[in-house]
Amino acid sequence: MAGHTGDQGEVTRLLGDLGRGDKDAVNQLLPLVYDELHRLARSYFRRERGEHTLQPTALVHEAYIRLVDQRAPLESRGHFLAVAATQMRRILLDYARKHHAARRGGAGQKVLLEDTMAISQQKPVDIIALDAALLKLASLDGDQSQVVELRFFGGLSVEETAEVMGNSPATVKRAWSSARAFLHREITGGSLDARAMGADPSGF
Amino acid sequence: MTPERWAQIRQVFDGALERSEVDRAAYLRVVCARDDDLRREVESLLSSHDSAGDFLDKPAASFASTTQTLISSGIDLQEYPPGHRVGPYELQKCIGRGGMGSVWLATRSDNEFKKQVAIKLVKRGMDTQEILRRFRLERQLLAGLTHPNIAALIDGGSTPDGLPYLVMEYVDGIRIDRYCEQHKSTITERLKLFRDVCAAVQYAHGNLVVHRDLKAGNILVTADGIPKLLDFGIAKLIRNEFDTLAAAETRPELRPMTLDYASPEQVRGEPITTATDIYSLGVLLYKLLTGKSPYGLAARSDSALRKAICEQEPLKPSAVVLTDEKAVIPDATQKIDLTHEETRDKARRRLKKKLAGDLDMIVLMALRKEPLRRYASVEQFSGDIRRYLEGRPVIARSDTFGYRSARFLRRNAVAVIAATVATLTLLGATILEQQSAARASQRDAIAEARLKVIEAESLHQQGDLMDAYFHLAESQGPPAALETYRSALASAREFDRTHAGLPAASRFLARAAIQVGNLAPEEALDLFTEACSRLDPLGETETADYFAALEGLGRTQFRRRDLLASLASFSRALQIAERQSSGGGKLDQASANLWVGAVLAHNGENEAAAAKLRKAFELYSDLAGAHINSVEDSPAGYRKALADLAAQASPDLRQAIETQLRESATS
Repeated sequence: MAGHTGDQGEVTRLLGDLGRGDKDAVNQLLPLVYDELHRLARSYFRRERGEHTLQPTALVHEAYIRLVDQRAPLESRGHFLAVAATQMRRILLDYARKHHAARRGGAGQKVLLEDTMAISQQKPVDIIALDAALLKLASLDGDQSQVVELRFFGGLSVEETAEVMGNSPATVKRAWSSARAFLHREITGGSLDARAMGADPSGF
Repeated sequence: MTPERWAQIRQVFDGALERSEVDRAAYLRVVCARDDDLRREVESLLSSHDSAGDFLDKPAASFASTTQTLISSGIDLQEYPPGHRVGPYELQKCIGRGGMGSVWLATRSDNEFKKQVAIKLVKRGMDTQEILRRFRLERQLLAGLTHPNIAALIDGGSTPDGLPYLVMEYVDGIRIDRYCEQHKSTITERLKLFRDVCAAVQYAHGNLVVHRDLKAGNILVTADGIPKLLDFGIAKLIRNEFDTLAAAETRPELRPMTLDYASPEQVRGEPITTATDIYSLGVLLYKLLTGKSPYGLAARSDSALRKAICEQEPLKPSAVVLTDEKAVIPDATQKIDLTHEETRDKARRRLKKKLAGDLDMIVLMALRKEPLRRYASVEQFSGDIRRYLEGRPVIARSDTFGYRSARFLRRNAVAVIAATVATLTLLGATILEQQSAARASQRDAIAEARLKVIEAESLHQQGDLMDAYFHLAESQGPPAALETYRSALASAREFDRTHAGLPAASRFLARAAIQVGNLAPEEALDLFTEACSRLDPLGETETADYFAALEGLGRTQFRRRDLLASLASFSRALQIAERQSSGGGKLDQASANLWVGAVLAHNGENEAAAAKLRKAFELYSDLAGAHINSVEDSPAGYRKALADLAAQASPDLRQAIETQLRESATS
């Protein structure tokens, strides 16, 4: 694969800086990762129009293969995937906010990630509400919020998430279960504080 | 809620999840004995957990709208603010965007005349070597072109952050097709306008420049009715064609091409010549005369359109006009009111009459599949239109017979190829009289293999084509084989691009990548990695191909002294080989053992190394049917024994062992 040889050296170097604790490297990495994700999304979209669904993790992984020198240390991969996941979250949120602002006045419409895959009955996700809930979760447990970011926005599997975070897959699975329950409760307005205000028919 | 409290809730929640629903209530009663609030929190979370369904289960990237967002937001975020200064120019507004960058309307801020210009900027993050190279090329090309129908290059430079830009004549106009529509131009007016475009292309060709991306969107007509050709962004100098084509082949995403106007040779990735521009001009003329694309309904999907471009004859323009409701263009004699059904119908019939005959022939001649059967030059094309306008006989008509016989030959390609084999063999015999018979027969084999490639290509059988390439490469032997494998890889990439998701496409690509990787050490790491990443999603991780990719990867990593990675690759390869029971498996096992042993030895793990090398030695002894007595039980001892063994083995085996010993030796 020819790859972006120009970007590749740069991204690999920045990941190295990040590994050595240079937090500023993230800011330089973001636009490079962003461009690659954007470019890949476009090419996937073109290639797979109608006939195939988008491969969930393919985007981030392909961006990694293209942007990072494969001889880079393993931890670089973790840093990269984390940056990519953050970037996906930011892109989606910015976009959702922009749409939200444009539609304001339209009786509090939600901006949803709809699923166009016909076989799945997956419910749409309100991206702005999810972000708010994630911020709340981050204030309670930063690791859990990162697990969600990596898995939902970065498309990483449990095993990959564990590798990035330096945890065991079992730990990640546990963190994921309670985080997901927490976020779902927040988004559907079912937090206990809210319930306490009115009569609760379910008897809690 | 505090983090401490949340940690407590989580712990109880995790415990509850591990228990069956029946046991949960009892568990919670015990754990939350004196803390009702804790119990309520956990119960509420459990209920949320149960009702969450597949909430967040699918990553955001699998939502179609995410893709859309990435596509559209990219444009927003890449923008330069209006008022931004680029050299002495001030950006005013963005007038065009593409994958590589954007085009801005700007004024020279230190100039009292406020002359407007168009500035082309590379997008941040897109400043890769390839794009910068293309940018420099465009500047170089444009600097050499001065023509009233070509937008001129005024200036160029780079921004403080190093991004290059081009300053071009700003053309205040509209696309040629919309211009004709808006002005209700008659056929004669359209033809005259088209001839002005031809003049610009002819001039470029005279300067050895092929535009390659001629389309209505690249031709603007000013208020004075002067067409101007824009965007030599992907134009190429004719003399460097092969060089640049190879570059584009390996980076399909960097081969921008407007499919609507693409010629068969562009679709197939074949060499591009001035005839390619003639074809695109033919499409443009077709659209200007009928308002339709030459392949009509076939244009539903990209792949269908590609096929139509290569195989389907376009409908005659006159035929399109009659069947299509919308195709109504006024003829030369009068402007008409198109709102009336009756006059529209009349106009349509009059237009058909006008197009039938010479104009049909002219357009179809430009659109012929075979570049050599089109007009010989833009000048000739334009000249034929002039002759038509003057009522004189056109070339396109007189050429029809020759054309038909050419089509006949094409339809009977196989027979013709057989005849060509005979001719080539004769020719070969004459040239090779002085040479040894062995060389001659090798040449014959190569010539024949080459024809097989051409045949498979013309029949669009990708599988046969790959086989033909591989067969050709094998008869050539290195180093010539490398170029053939590269062609195979380029062809596989193209096939993969048009058949994304097809497992066979990935397989072809992986196979070709492995072969190129074996012969091109510089690119090997990327290629072997790519081959693995192509086969992984297919689940084909136990195949001979996967073994070859891993072994190649291991060798490459070893050369780079990345011993750990190399060991990992060879170990996986060994596992695959060990699970195979066939005869080939034994050879693979032997070589994987040899490599694992060699890498271990380099890493100073002599005991483990000796064990693997012993295994390799035993397997190779078996295969060679030979025996070596008294072997010293050490890595060095087995290496020596293997070398002795090689001397007694069959030529192929000997070469295999010696190559591995040589490659795995300390440098």
